[in-house]
Amino acid sequence: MLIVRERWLSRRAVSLHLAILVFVPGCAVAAWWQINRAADGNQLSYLYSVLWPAFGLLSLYFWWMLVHTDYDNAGLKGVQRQQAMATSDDFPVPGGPQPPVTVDEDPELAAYNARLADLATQGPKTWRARESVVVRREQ
Amino acid sequence: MKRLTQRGLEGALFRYQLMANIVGVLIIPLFLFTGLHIAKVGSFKLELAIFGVGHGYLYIVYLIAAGFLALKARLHIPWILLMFVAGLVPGLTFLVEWIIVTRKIQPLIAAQNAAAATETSGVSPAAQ
Repeated sequence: MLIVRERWLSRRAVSLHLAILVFVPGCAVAAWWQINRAADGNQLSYLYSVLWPAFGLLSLYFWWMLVHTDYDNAGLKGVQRQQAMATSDDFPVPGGPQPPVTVDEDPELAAYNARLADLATQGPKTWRARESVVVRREQ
Repeated sequence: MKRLTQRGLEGALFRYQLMANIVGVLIIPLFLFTGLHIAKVGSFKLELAIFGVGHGYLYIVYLIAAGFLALKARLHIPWILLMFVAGLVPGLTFLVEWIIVTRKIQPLIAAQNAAAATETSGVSPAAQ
């Protein structure tokens, strides 16, 4: 619930919602205006009446992508942070060396713990396709 | 041609730079003919139609290229707005493209290369 609130109701997200609430009806009005002008015989307006809905759809797409953009593990700061994590060994890195299974540990419990650790490094679930993490360690 | 369809940050950067230059060149005659038309130097209806519609449709391609670069490089919203507005102002396109590339994208590529370099040479996974 906290993740949902952070994603959809942060100041950044709310300003995105407000911008989209103004811009998309604006595009719709402009498109309707151009369609009416085209119907009145302005031939150039046929081309512009395609342009305005395209702007509206594009803004909707970028609104969705920006709401689902996480700055944690990509971008300049993200890469620097990931590199600091990879060199410090204090934090788990996705795909990095897993802690070895100790002898007295139940293999089922070890697999469960490994799964939990893997989930913890993946971060919250989003609707956006996950990009591969930049810092990788080869086996 | 290969760079046009290349995946990843380099490809997105190339597509953005290509579209920024095309749109930045196209908007100059558009503003020029608009000014001449308003100043009643002559009637430039055909030129205005060609450059207006051409810039309008190519501006959509520019928005897509710039937006995908911004999403890939995780630029923040003010930078994205600056990139989008730059395609509408003559001359600003080239300036913003230069600022974005030198201030934002090249440091990111350098950081990614540094990360890749330490990954292959420096720290080796000891617990294997």
